[in-house]
Amino acid sequence: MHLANSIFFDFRIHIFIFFPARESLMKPGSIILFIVVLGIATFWVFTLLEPGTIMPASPGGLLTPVEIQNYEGEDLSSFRDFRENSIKGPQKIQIENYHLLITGLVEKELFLPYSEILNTYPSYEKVVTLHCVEGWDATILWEGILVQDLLDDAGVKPSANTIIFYAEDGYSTSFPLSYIMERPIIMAHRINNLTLPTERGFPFQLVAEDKWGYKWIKWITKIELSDDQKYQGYWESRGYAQDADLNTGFFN
Amino acid sequence: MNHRQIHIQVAYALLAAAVLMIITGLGITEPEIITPISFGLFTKFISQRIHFFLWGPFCILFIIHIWLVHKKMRG
Repeated sequence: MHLANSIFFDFRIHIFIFFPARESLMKPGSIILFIVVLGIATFWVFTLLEPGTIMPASPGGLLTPVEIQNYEGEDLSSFRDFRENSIKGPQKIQIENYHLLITGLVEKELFLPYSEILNTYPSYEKVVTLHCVEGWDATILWEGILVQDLLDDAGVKPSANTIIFYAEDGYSTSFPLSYIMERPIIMAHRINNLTLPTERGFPFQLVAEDKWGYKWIKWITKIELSDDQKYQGYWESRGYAQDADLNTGFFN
Repeated sequence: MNHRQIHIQVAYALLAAAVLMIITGLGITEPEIITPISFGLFTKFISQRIHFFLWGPFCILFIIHIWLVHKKMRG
């Protein structure tokens, strides 16, 4: 009880330093009320600051697509729950000019427009949670194409051991080729039943399962097959772990 | 060093730790603001390292601070 009083007394001293007002302000009820009001105000301000303008376009303007909130009994996060933490802000890609380049140590270089990718390759759905190094996470139903399918068409040369993804804003990240070839890793073009919004990486975001969020590259424009196992992407060259496995830390 | 001096030192250390926690916390979530105004000192990576490292000392200082107040009240 004494310790609780001490904590309370200490808190009252600090309140008094910042607000040397009437004695009535120092009553326990006033302090609790102050904390509650401060909490509500903070929450309100942060809600106002959230970007609420990201809405995917409705095709033909007939029906507005609806974001699903639950998938096979599992609650999903919203695409609005992500924090915008890209290096140069959201990239607006004109889809009619967009091509995905697959290059490097491949038998046949591919240069694929968006519509061809969607029409040629089968789509897969999966619920995966993105864990950001900032401490937040989002569980989402992702729909996309298998990176393996693209690589099979391009034909990976035997000397390739690393895959590097590049984005429109200059961001890049790499993986051991085995991570992509041994697991069904997708490049998402839909999120919770909606076309990927600009802010979330339209046209493609990599769903790098079991990796920290900085491996989930958005606005993918190029995939390069390489034999440079020491290649370091944007955050990796700034001290973050190359592996970025969720079960290990993200510092080198 | 008497009790009062120790208390002042702990309070200042706690204040410094709290300020650093706030700055590095912002350095993690808002690096585009904090990195330039700190002249490149608090990058996202450095902020995260310091922020994680500070957690323990901050808690210890806070507990000592409370304990000293408690002692002062009783004494």
